[in-house]
Amino acid sequence: MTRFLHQLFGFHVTDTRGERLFFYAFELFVAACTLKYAWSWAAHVQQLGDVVLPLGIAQYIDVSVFFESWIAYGAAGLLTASVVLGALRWWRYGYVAALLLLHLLFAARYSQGEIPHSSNVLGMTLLGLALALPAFDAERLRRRFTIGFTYFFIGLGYTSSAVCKLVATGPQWVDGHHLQLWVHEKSIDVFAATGSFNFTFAQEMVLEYYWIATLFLIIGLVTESLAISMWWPRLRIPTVLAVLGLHAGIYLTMRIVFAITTLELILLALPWACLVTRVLNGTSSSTDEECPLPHFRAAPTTEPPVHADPGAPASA
Amino acid sequence: MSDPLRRAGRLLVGTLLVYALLVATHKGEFWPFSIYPMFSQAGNSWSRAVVRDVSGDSASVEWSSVSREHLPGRPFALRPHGVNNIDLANFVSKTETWTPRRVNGLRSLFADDLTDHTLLVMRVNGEMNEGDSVVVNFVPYVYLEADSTAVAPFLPTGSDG
Repeated sequence: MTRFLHQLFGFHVTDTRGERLFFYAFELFVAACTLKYAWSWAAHVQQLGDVVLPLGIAQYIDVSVFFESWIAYGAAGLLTASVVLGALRWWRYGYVAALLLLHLLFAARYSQGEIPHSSNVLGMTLLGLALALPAFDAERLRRRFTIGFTYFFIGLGYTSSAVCKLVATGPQWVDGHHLQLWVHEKSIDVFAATGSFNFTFAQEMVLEYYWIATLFLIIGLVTESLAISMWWPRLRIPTVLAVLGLHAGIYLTMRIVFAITTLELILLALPWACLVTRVLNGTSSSTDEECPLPHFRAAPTTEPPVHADPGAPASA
Repeated sequence: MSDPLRRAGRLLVGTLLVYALLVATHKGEFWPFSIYPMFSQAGNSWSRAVVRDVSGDSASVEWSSVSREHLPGRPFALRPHGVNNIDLANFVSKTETWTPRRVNGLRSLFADDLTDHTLLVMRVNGEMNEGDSVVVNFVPYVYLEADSTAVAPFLPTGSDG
């Protein structure tokens, strides 16, 4: 367990300016997307008239009150303030408040029957930040905890999806006829949204050739099953890139886009911190000393020495 | 184990326990926690919804199902009118009884459009037949005019409880 936590969080690995800059950008991305969801959901609930399927907290409180414009926009405004206070480190519970308010807005927005998953990855990352700020004083520990927490639950989520498929349908889930049925379903979604009916090239291939449809499903299921590999730094780049490939396949065949999830995966897949460090150091060398990759490098085989004052703020 | 690592481990385990508890007691979904069950049940029939613009059509509504080639009126694209097609699909398929409140809820999705359009909301059912081909049927459900609504006679209606 200790070794696993060392690899997941990398608390002991040397901090670099590139990692600090990367995390500023990453946190800015999470904050911006949180605000984007909050305000778009607050705007959308204005056109809703009745709760069809209560989700989350909506099973305990009447979220139709959010259909009144001032309440929804008020919640979004409070959420904005919470995110700003948390990001500026003026209130260590800022992200906690933001997460709770975003859950309320989610429950109001998605009360019409759809159970979306497009915002779950961002929501889990926001939870990571919400836990990191109160739990740790040092910024270095907050960064490492948030990133490790995010990898853990993203990997768990995709693998859980694979398990659900095998439990609900069994190995025959990969039968290409299933994908053909879904392609038709998604084509109706596009027809409803745009008024035009057509299949993409990839969809036509799937509909025409059963073996191509089956191959798509096999690759997708295997990718999801192995997603927890991102828990280990050595496997992160290939695993997250494979998950990005999975989303590309979903877009080509099903025309479903998880834009924010995809952007977050791109941030997590590639060694951006290393690239920034190299640019700042002005070197093209690939040695570990000049381009440490704590999020992608395996922990040492022996437990590293304990820091004398783990709670002391790290130099920014 | 160092103190921050121990604290991180406890937070991870604590979150996992809360995650498991919430999804176990809420049918797998409690945002942002989920077991991600989408597309897990393969081969099942599906249901969606489309809207047709039947403004100016003099013929009375035929409440029988049709194929895509025989749809009445013209396409009414939902996206330009700010209506989410998934919301509409779930509203249509998950409504068990078309009470006045449900009808008004449906009308509220198109509130700004009914002054200029007469709309026919259709449920779309898709399934795999015995020959492994996909069969898609369009079923008229609700006819919306500026100041009146007609619900298909085969749909259960009732008063608000």
